[in-house]
Amino acid sequence: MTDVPVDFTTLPPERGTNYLTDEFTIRSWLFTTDHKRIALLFFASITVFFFVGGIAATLIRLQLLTPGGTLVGPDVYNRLFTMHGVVMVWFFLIPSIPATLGNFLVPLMIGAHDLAFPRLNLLSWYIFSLSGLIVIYAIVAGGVDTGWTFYTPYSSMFSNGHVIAAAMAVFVNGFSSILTGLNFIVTTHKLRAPGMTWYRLPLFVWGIYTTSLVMVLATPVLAITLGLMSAERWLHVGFFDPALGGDPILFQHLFWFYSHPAVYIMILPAMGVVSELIPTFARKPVFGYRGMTYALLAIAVVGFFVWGHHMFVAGISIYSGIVFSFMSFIVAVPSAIKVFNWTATLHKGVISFDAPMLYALGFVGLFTTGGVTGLMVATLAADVHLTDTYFVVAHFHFIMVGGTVSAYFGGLHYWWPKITGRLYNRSAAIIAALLTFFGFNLTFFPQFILGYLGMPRRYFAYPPVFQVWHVLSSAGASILAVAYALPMFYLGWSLLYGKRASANPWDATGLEWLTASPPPKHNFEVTPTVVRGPYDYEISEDGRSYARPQA
Amino acid sequence: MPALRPEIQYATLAQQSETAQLGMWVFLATEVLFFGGIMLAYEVYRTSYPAAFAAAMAESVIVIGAINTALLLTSSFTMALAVHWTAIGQPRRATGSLILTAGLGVAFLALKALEYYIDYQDHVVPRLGFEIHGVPRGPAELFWLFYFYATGLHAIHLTIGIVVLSVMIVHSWRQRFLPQSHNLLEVAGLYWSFIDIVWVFLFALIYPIGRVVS
Amino acid sequence: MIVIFTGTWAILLLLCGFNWWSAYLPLGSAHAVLPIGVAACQALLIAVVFMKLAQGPRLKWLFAGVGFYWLLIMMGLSAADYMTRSGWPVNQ
Repeated sequence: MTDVPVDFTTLPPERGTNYLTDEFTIRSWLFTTDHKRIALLFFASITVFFFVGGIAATLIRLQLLTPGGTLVGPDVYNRLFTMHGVVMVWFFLIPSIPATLGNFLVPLMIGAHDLAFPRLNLLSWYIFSLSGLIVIYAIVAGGVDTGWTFYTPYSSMFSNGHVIAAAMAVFVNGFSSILTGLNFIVTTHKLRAPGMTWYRLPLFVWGIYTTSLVMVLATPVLAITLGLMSAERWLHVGFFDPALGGDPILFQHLFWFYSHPAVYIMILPAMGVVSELIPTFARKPVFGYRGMTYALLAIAVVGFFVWGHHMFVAGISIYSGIVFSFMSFIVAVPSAIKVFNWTATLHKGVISFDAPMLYALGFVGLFTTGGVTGLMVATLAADVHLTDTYFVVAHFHFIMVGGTVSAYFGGLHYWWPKITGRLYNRSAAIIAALLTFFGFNLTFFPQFILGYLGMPRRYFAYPPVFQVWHVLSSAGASILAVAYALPMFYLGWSLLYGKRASANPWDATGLEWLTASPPPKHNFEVTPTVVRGPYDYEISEDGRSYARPQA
Repeated sequence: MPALRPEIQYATLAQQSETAQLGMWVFLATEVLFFGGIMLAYEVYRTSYPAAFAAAMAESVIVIGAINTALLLTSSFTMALAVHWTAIGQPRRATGSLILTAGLGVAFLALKALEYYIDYQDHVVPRLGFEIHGVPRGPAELFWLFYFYATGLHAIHLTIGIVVLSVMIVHSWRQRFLPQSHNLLEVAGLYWSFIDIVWVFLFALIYPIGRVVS
Repeated sequence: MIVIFTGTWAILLLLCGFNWWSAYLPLGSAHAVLPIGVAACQALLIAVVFMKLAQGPRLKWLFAGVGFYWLLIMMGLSAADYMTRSGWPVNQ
């Protein structure tokens, strides 16, 4: 028998007009294989965990309002920052852009009708939900006090928290990561529409693709590491036990081999989103498209060579410290290239300050600040002073919150009309974006000062001289909380009362804008044929902008 | 009825088949790093405590290890045959070969269980009466921890493989694998052979050192 | 095809036997390296013949190799620490 190419005109006509109205039963949602519905399932789950992690953050910032540590004691405080870290890293940040925006958009952007393995996609969500249940159990049963880093021998021998439960939650969560990453890698290689060559792919797809490479290569090492640590805890003898000649630092090597690339899992998709937002709202093609793709690849690859910079003072040799420090400086270069290219894209653009653009601009500034301070802690001598202080805390929050969360919100606002078919209130969104930027800076910039002055991280109390900075930070956190909550209201309102969106409300060039808002169940009536690269925007002499879509 | 059309996101059956195999190769890459993590730990300690590791390793039951290796290598062979026979339209031979493959896997596990029992009798199970002579106890115990973790993880993967094989056997018996579309069988075969590759490396790390008294 | 499979199987068993036999040879420090080398040959044979790496798109080679390459990176950079750290290993 010969292969018969599938002829879509002979498929039965779809019952509903779009993927949301196709079927309304709970069964059709829980057993869906439609990547768009699975994206929404993930969206619901990670939003829940965003709030769980946010509650922990709220309690932390309330505790740190006063120096004496009056709200909670040291043990509860340890559990608070551990659960904040565990939940935010694995149950919010890592899946946020890939599993929601990535799942929804990658097939649309490459002109495919679904991902390569739709059932694996659904399985990924079920595994994620299972891991979520396990971590909720760990929290409710009393929590963990080891920090999200689970360092041995404390985690394996001395902690009296629910370490194994938390570790198992993360272990299971890893499978969800791996399946999602696997799906994106194979989809990008095999399911691109005719004419969609690698160098015509939108940078968001490149971002998701490089993220998936990191997910697939790094996550298994976390799995074995947490497995070994849990076994040591359970059996009371283990690989990292100095009494046997084992090395606790070996745990750190294995843990950070995953966890440093994990932060690139968190930032690469965000960079992809920003590369979509800026061209659309500056009406200009991205400056240096190929450089941007190579930069993404370089960050993904070189990001695997730097993990030791988390261990400079842990006891590794000074020589390997020099190597890791050097590599950490190298990895900053492609990130910087991206910042230069975004800036060059803005130059002489026709910029409209809609909410997505505000989030993108916020990303560029905050990510740059976070990145530069990363170089500061990557400097061996400076890190001796800065390590384990609030300087490091501020550094990574600038990147993960100022960076990734800003990009996530920006992407949510940009593609909201495509996902829901509704437009939201423009002014409310702009206010929320500005409030986010202001609240964020008030929360986290004082923490740089705190760290430099010597305030250690993970401390439940502190000398009164630090209080003014903590008060500023907590005040900022309250504003940030409002800013993050605001979209719930106007986006939720738009679902019921918002104006219906056209296929391409932003006049953008990607393939996702060629299909209806919301898209039909199988994305495209006819598989598109791609004829040009992404971001074909042009600004004419009289200041009017034109966009030529990709197909 | 078995599918003669590819899923909607694929243009042809061949594209779907290639994609399925690529997906399994990506998953196998993750498994390389999973087992690789524990092998890193092993190499760190082996190069740091060579004498203790050699002495500890000499206690491993190389006969069973070698026989088990031969069993798994043969099972890879029979698995490849099963896929081949399915592809050329001989389902009965394929089913027989799959049954043989699963049987070899079960035999492996049985011998492994026997080996664990012998190890227990030899006092090399950490925390259960561990004894070693002539070298520091700690690093020797580290080797045996590695042995049980690594072979235990491998055995879990093998068991999963046997379960998957059972499903494959049922499908093959009912002739639901077509010559032009049998992706599930192909990727199961890839997974099974990969388990074999892991074992081949584990054998090299567990058995051959320390038996020569110099 | 079946001939190729059978031949490969025979070679694999021979290599296995060689690995077993070499355990009793006075090879000194080569004992740490030789069995792994043999295992690598076996792995390559299994991958190329039984897992059909030789057929199909070249992309499979990349996916098959990248895991091992990354493993080398992990081992190499970790070794950089253990080989240059003073005070390691701690005397038992």
